[in-house]
Formats: sequence, structure tokens, C-alpha cells
Amino acid sequence: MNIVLRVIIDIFIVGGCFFAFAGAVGLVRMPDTFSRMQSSTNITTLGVLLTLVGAFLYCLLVMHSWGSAAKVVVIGVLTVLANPVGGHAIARAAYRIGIRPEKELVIDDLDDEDACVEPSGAAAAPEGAGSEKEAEGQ
Amino acid sequence: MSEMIELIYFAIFYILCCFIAIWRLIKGPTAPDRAVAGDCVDVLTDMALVLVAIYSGRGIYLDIAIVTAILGFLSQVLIGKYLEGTL
Repeated sequence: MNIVLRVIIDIFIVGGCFFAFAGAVGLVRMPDTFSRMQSSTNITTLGVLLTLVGAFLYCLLVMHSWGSAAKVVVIGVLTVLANPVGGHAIARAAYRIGIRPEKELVIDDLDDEDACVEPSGAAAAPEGAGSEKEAEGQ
Repeated sequence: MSEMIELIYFAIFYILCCFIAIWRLIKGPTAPDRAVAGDCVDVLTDMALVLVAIYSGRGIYLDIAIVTAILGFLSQVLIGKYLEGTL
């Protein structure tokens, strides 16, 4: 095997290991729930992507296997598309069941009826907000 | 077997990172903490599976990693919806 290729693959995978370790340490050390969620995205973006780039190069240039390279790309696309959606669902659920950050929030759109449209009664919310504004104006 | 013996050590490192996340999974004061830590364990196991696959040269581990990624996403969204009360 070419030693240059081996070193390049190792650099990518070591970078992924570093970011995964940083995310895991942040998951333990961060003070509140939302900070821990932010730290977990460290694992699922840079840690995963750098490792998968290394695995992709290995599959393509060492194993000469296009099928394995395609599977690695599928794993990367799934992780990158799925984790923001799941993280958003978990974060909104954490807000709804009453968890707040330690510091006071500067902008709280989920508490603002004009900015946040509830999933139930989405048609009624803008009308109610508009009438309240008119009432305030009068 | 691959010539790159270090790949299996990277996989072992990912599993050790898993144990750090499992500590948060056990201790976590709230339910979203545990959900996030569980998703981290899922993703780290995924990466370890990819590394074991390219170390051993067997593509079947990549299939298992794809299934693990899909199930992790589904479980995270389901837990979020359940906690929110709109399941």
C-alpha cells in the first residue's frame, strides 16, 4: 500500500476521533441540557464526516470497491440529514416540558405567540394575534 | 484482513468514547439528556462499525451501520414527539 495514502486516511480518521472525543467530553462536562445538545452535534457532524471521508478513501483507493464506497456515502448523508431533525425535535420537547437554560434567554421565540405557530390550531393563531394587535392600537 | 492495523484501534477508541456517553446516559438528570446521550452512543457505534468493516474487509458491517443510523434517527424523533405530548 502507498504510504502517502495510508497517512492521509489516518489523518482524516484521527481528526474524526478527536472531534468525537471532544463531543463526548462536552456531553459530560457541559452545565445544562441545551449545552449538552450543542456538544453532541460535535460528534454527529465533524466526527462522523471526517471518519467517513477516511473510510470512503479507503474503500475507493485501497479496497477498489465502489459498493462499499456508496454505502459509506449513504451513511454520511443519512447522518447529516437526520441529526438536525432529531435534535430539533428533542430540543423543542425539552423546552415544552419545562427545561430552561441556566442563563436567561435573550430571544424566546417559542414563548412568543406571534413568532411561534402551534401545530394544533395553526389557522386560528394568526387571526387571534392580529385582533390583539388591533385592540392594542385602538 | 487489512494492512492498516491501526483501524481497529480507532474503532476501540470510538467504543471508549461510547462509555463516556453511557455515563451521561446513566446519570443524566432529565429525559432529553438521556435521549441525546443515547443518540450519541448510536452514532459512535455506527462509526466503530464502519471502521471494523473496512478493517476486516467485509461489507456486511456497513449494512448494519446503515440500519443503525436509520433506527437512531427514528428513535430520536419518536422520543422527542413523545416527550412533547404530540405523538
